[in-house]
Amino acid sequence: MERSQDTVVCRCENVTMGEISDVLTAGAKTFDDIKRVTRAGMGICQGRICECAVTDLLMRGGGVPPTEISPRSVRPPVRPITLDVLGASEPDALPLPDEA
Amino acid sequence: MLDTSDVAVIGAGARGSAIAYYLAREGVNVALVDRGFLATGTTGATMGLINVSGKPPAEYTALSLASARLYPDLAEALGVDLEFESGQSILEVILDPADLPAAHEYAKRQSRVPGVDVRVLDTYEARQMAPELSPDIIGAVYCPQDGHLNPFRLAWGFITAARRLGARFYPHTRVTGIRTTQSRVTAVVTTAGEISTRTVVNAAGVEVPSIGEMVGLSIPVVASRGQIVTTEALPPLFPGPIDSMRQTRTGSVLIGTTEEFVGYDTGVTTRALRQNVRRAVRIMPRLRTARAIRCWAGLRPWPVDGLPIMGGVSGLDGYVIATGHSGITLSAITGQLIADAILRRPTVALESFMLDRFSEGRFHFPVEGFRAFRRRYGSTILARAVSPAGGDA
Repeated sequence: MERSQDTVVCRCENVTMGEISDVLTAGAKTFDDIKRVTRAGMGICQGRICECAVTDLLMRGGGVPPTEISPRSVRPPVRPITLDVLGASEPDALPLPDEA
Repeated sequence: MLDTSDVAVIGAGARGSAIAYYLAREGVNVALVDRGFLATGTTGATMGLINVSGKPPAEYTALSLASARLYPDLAEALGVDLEFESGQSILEVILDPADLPAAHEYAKRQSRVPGVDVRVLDTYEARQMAPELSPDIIGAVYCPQDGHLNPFRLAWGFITAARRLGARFYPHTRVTGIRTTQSRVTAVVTTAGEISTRTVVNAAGVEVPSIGEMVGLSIPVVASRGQIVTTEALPPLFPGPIDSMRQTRTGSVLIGTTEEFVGYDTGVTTRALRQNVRRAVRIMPRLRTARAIRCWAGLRPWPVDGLPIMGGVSGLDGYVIATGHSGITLSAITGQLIADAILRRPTVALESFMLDRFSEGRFHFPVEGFRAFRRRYGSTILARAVSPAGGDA
């Protein structure tokens, strides 16, 4: 099956190849660049599923050499956590590391 | 030689992209440069609030109102959906009855600004507006002039429109110097070559000071870190932003209310995360079962007196500054005023926001937050600001 401008690249946020192409022509060079404008990678999987496809588009459509590809930025939490657990006080508090 | 332009704008955030647009719209030849892409700095880490009510003193509130009024027509002019909404914003939720008198006082004072209407809703009115609010809240500070939009769409909209009007955008291009000859700007030096220009706009956010140092200017802007946590997409729970929270068009709820002076550190902390989350679930208990999917931190450019810095500088022709926090609120009016200033149209509005106020002593520290600021920076920044290295040109 051929890809087209309507092919969905980011399933979580329903971002198409056409939307990503528009951002590439404006000079996007990283996953995060594309994420900002299109929301690809902002959904619940945080880019796990679409990173490969977006990286492919960066290299082919964006002309970024493989050696200059930077990985998507990763932030906590590693997996979704409910707010009641995150906000809990002792004794139910998660054993999160001490400040900082 | 990378380019030749009438104006080179440094920084493709909310302000820089707006300035590029408003200039291009007037037929000015513009080049926009950013070391990242667009909205890579503060604009890409912010909540997206258009905050009129929370902006004392009166002058600052009036400026914010003037800007807020521009967004409805702007979306149409740009041809991009900014996801702009207004009229349903709660600035702050009151949780302690002891805070009510101060809230009423604040509302009264802010409402003296023409066109601004700030009220304290009681718990019944607040929950009529937002049924998901906790029954334990005492009241809510409400201002119909406040609103919100999508910061990425804002920057993207400005830049796309500016490019359509002939502006050039150079992302991933770092400014390394600014050339001047006989007190006049002549070029911007970048990693991709020089841009020959007679006017440079320093809209570099937290990097405003380093771009200032390139011409020997000491611009007193420090970084104030804000941390945000976002949830997964949720059903509509918010009629508009409430307190420290904003629900985006796609349903995710952004939560953030912290301010720390920690230099340029964009790390996240569990302390701030817990602080943000606890206030959120206290205000809206339904959020207890919502799942957080990401935290991040952004740095607000914080001029030491809390007010924007806009306009030219004495002693150097062609150097314009456009910075401050609240870029989302102020981007539209900043774009307009800076464009007017560059085109030499009279802009009385800019006078009290110019850089010279620091060296001329026409400023004061806001009481709030000053102690935290002072603890971190002592008086070094201020001392340098009032006596710039090398003296006034």
